Amino acid sequence: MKIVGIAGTAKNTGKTTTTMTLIETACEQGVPLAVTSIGLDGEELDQVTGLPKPRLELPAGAFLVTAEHCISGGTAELEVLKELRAQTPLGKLQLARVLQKGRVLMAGPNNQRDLNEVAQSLEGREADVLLVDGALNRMAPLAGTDLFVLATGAARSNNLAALQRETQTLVRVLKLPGLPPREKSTFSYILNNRGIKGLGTDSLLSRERVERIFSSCREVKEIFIRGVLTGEAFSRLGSMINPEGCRLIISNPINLLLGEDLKELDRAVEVWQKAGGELGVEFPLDLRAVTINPFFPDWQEKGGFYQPRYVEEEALKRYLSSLKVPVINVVREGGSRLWSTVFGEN
Amino acid sequence: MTEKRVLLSPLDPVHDIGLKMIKNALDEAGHTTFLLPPDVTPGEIVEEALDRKAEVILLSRTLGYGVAELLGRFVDLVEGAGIRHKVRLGIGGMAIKPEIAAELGFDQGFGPKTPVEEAVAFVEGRNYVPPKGGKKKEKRNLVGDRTYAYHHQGIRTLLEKISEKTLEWFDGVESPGIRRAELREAGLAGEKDYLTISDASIKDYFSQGILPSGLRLISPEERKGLQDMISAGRVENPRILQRNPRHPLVFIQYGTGCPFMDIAHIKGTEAWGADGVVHFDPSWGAKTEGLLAGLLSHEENGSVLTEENLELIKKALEPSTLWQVRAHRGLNTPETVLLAGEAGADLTKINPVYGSLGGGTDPERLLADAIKAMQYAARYAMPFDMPTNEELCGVPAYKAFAGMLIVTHLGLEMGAKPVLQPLFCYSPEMMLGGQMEDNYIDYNAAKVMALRRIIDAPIWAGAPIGFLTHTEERVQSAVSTSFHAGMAASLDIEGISIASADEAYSGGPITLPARIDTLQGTGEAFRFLGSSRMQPTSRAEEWAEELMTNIHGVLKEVAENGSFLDSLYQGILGSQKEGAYPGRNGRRTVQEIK
Repeated sequence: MKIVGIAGTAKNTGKTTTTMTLIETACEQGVPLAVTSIGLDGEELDQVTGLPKPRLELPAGAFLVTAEHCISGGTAELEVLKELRAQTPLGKLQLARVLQKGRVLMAGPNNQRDLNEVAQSLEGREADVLLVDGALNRMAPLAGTDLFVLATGAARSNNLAALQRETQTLVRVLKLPGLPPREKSTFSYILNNRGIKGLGTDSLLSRERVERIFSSCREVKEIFIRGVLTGEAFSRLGSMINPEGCRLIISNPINLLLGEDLKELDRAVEVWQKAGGELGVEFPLDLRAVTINPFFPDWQEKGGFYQPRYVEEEALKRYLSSLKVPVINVVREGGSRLWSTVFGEN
Repeated sequence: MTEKRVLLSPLDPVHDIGLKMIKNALDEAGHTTFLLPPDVTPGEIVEEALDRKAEVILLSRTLGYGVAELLGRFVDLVEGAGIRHKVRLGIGGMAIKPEIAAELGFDQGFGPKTPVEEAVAFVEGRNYVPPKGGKKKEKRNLVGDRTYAYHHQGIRTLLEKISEKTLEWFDGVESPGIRRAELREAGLAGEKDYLTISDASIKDYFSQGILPSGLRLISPEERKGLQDMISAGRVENPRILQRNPRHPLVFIQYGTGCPFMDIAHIKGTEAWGADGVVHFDPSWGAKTEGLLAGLLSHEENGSVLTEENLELIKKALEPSTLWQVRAHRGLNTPETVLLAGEAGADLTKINPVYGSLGGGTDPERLLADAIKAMQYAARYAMPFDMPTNEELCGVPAYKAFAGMLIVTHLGLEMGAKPVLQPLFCYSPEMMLGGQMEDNYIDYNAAKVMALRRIIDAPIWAGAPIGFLTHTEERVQSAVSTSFHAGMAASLDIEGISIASADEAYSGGPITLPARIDTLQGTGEAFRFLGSSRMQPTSRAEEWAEELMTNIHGVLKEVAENGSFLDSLYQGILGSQKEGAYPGRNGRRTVQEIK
């Protein structure tokens, strides 16, 4: 079974539309599938903006993992097969099968460990694909998925030049190559001539932390970060040690994207690599496509509500076409292109 | 319980009071807490969580576009930092609900008004069970511990004299209303003898099944629908509006004619805090000799009085709700009280003075019927209130009160528990006399002060409070009701009837949201005042004394006349010039017992 993570850069970037398109195509092609979400999907109106959301419809035979209180929230007839251990604000997760097609309300695992439990619960069942719909800009629970799709668009920024720069950074990081750490380690470490030394923390989140840890190091052979490395910390790291010949390995690419400033991260990557530093991840992601959505909710100060608006589709596509990954306007280009891009030979 | 290390972070500088309260409760429960200052970044919170080995992180934040992403990134950071499975995440704030918490990736969401104990239970990994029992609403007795002791002996002596004569007269008379009630008691309602003394419309129904226009029987499917509505509409925890036992019980009125609509309004208002509901019947009911039968729907205002209709309403009521069936003004007064008592009503309404001077029924007929009705009220232990709505016709308050006090004494003689009902209203008397030019408090306070100085009886201000102060504007109407409710609470009275915020000018059916407006307003008034009081000016005292003197004067005149009944016709308790016209319905139907 292939697990596909569909992450977004923000609310309303098209995650659920992408997921729904994959569901429809799977149906057409007769591929048995399972679906879940790391947030809440399938509700009529957005919880924050109050604007209509795309509804989630599942075909008969599909598996679904959703929270207890969502089981009766749709029109699909479901058979609950199993209760899982994972708990959510809407109750415990349930594995169910769709008996009669219809809309579903989906609130699934909110972290990677619980997503693993979901995948395990599907073992031995008739599902070739598990689609995991993202939530908001959250990606961390999807770090262990086999195939990855990133949804972005005007809801993230309707300044297309800025959106282009940011998406380039995201793609650059999400496509970082695998780089196996020299030491098999359960903690973050520095490796230099004197040997391996624990960092004392899994994550480097701030400049200050980097300064404390690296005050007496200059020449380092390898740094392994199990947790998060923010752009700010990365930037300081690049100026404290000599990147040349140093292998910097992060557990997974998403852990590089969790800081506040993506521009700073981009500069830090640039500086590191130019100075001869190696950068890679222990568990690479297989980023298959970026899907784009021209829609954005526009806040009306006067009326105090969100107005649905759109950027020009052609312009959006043009700006993002330089990315080193297939860019798909799902609504315009249809499901088969998306399907073959996601599941085809790389 | 194992001690937990809890990090609390108000991401919002102005909304950290909830977190501070939770912190105090957690400290008290023996947990170790770390409250971060506002305005820290998600990265800083995670650093703190790592340094302090937090097991639970509680954030508070109001939502808006972009904030969701900020919170989403925070949850991602916790996971990226490798501590997601060791740390439980809770989020609280104005817009937070479980669905949003799920979308954001938190383990639990706490919306507004979440009890602190719920957050403590989350920290301790327990299921939160809301406390039971402590706040359960119970049916309260409207009469309370009022003793009916007279404080004004002069008035007492006059009332005794008037009553004695009136009851002497009553013992020698009978009426079709009294006779029908006796037949109903004997199980003969709708039978031959009953129909002989009923109007043609009642005869036609019982003998030929022809219903008066605008009425129809509820179908079996509708009956099933009503049953389903009642079972589905149970109110789990009716709201309690009062802040202390001194605050008055709050009554609303229903009577749309449609049982579905009545039940919807009753259930809605019970949920929002109404303590009692008052059944309003159609106005033609007061002019018709005899009552119908069956489960009936009426296409105009007023819910028809039948045994079946009352039974249905009774089934719909929560155990804590007081139920009044009014009987005060028509040709079926004794029968109505009998029906109400049999149906399990808690209260009724009887006032022959208003009913005959403002309600259209002949004084002689209504006085005889009302005394009989009081006997039934006593038998079924139903206190009855005496609305003094003749004030709205233009009768001065002191005259209306003199009449009400005579009825009070008659009621006490019959063994019943009368409830005084002065109006909290901007009456024609006030408009002409200017007593409310400055404020609405003084004169209404004076009315209550005067009555209290005469007799220790329960008072139920009506009906509805603020009558003629309401406009078509809903906020104004709700606020006016709310202030009058506050005044009632300040005067230690036992009950109030409130209007909906769209009642005065609805131009059609009133709506449930507008009922909720005034219930909410009343609750806020009680919350605002607590055990404090609104303070009338010294004018209230002057007017109270004046009212007492005038009431005494009127009673003296009635006593000197020698006949309460004659006084009603003579205008001693409200003259034609003042707007009181003795009613004509049922005239010359009272007969001497041979």
